[in-house]
Amino acid sequence: MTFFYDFNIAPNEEVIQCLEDHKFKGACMFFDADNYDNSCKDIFNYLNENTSLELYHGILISESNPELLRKHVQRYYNKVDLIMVNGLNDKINRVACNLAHVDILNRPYSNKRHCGINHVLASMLVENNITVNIDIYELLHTRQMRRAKLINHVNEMMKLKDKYGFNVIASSSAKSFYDVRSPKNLILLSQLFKVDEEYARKLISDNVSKVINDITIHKESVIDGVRIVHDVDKRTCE
Amino acid sequence: MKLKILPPTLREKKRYIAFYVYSEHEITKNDFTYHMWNKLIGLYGEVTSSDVNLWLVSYKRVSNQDRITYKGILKCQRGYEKETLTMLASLTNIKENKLVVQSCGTSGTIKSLNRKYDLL
Repeated sequence: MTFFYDFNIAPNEEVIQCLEDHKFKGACMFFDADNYDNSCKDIFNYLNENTSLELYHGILISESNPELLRKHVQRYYNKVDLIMVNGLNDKINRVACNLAHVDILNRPYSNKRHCGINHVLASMLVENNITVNIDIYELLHTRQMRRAKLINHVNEMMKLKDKYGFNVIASSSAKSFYDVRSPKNLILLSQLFKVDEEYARKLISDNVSKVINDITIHKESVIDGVRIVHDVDKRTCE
Repeated sequence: MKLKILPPTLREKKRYIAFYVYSEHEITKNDFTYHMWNKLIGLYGEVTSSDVNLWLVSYKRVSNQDRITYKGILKCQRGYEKETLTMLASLTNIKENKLVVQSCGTSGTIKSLNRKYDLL
């Protein structure tokens, strides 16, 4: 059985309820780094208690200054499950790809004349185990020339993905009930890019599972290269 | 003189799609049809849209406490179900009115679709 995930949603009860109705297995809520405080954690805990979904919480960093981006990533690394950076310009994309603490690079192709990733960044993504997120919300809310360019940029990125093998996921970026799409619809919409049905399915299932595995590794790791494999029973130690 | 009806072998093969529309405000049948066609032409262009041959068979309001809901049946040409379903999934708004369309299923006859989803 395939499990589906929507890995970029707003912290909204209605959205989570709708995802449950569509039989998603899990989701990740992203809070804005500029407005992140302790109340966000409380909101996450409250929503997590009232749902059967596997919920994760992450932080979305939209920064145009590379130094500030590094600072934000360092600050939030141990506080949240996932760190997602919004792709902006070549400089920001390069810094984000170079940071091993970053988990997801969100739409690196935005506001550009190209897909935002080249062969150098592609190998950095593989090296640092960073996933690229395709925003279906953006695809739905653009029209004509902008949508055509967006599809072209994603197709360009998919070519690099085929060659270098970095991980790609798709998400709805749902902010309200009207933005949520069922797994079937997400697969259909993903097929507007040059991907076959099988890979479109992987974008919201298998590829997201890889990100979830990384979260577990991240939680278990003590320092770089050292990880708690299992808890040792206290009695055996005594 | 009235034209004779085409024999079944020469008629175009069709598929019926059942769907639900959830919306913030009321949407008329004409508005919905117009925006469906607009979206289809925007996504696939005029040539492919002509092959899809879209037709809204039924469109009715359903009682729902949370939001305005409609149920309907859409006819398209066989082999173009994927294009039609993608078009339905990509509908986001009609002017300022937000909406989402959830397709339920596809069938070769209205009768079997109605038996499954009770849409008429």
